[in-house]
Amino acid sequence: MPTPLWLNRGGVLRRGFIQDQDVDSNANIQASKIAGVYTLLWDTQDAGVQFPVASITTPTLPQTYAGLHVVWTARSDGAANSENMLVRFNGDSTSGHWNWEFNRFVGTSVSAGESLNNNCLYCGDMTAATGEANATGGGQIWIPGYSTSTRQLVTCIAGAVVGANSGTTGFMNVTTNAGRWSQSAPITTITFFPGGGNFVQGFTRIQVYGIDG
Amino acid sequence: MKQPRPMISTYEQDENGVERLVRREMNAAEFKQWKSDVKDSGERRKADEARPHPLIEQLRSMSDEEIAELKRLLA
Repeated sequence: MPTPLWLNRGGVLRRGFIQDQDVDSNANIQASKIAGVYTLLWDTQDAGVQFPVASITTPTLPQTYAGLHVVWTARSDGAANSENMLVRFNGDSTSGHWNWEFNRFVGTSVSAGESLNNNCLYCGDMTAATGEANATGGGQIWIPGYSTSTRQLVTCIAGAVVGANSGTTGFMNVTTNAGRWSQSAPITTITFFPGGGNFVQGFTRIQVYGIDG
Repeated sequence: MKQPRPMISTYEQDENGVERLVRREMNAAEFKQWKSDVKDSGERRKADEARPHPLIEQLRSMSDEEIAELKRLLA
């Protein structure tokens, strides 16, 4: 009979299930035996990433998880109200390797669009230099089967303050995306970069979690 | 005076093959790619902002038969 157990994984309490065979004679439990938990693989804050920087690349990621979940919050010093949050896998900037479909919600309007044969993946927006002070964008990216040749579809959801003044219509947006990287190589690194300017200190943090199968 | 290139944060292997976090100026190839990325992103954003409402796009793409049917339904 599996036993439910709450564990602190990467600062987040997660519920796992322990079976008898996962516990040794000293009552030690192997973390890899706990199903359904998130493992924090990398965190810009823990790693000591220094700002400002125009792009951030992860170290080589372990290939032992069922999927990756990226949680990000960011702000750019680009001379605009907002900038795109863009991503590449394995540093691949080849035109034609990236496609995405998005919905963007601003105020009371919804727009949809696609970008075909691009050279990176759009994952939402972040507040930039002329946007509201102390505001950010943030979102999540799911990359199932990142270590296999059969995954490819990436889903993203994000929200951002994209205007200069909160409380005015259209000052924030929400985006939902599905993107595809057409290559079959395992994803070993992820590069994040704003569409203009640099990620700035105090408002930018990226965390990459491994999801156990 | 030469303007400094943007900085990047990445991991590079040291002499022992161990990955180390480094923050360094972009090299020439990275800088060329970055300038292209900024240009692409700006153009994409302008195109997004200029895109008409999806319903308008859908109406424009409808055939004569579909428009006739729509008129009939709205009548």
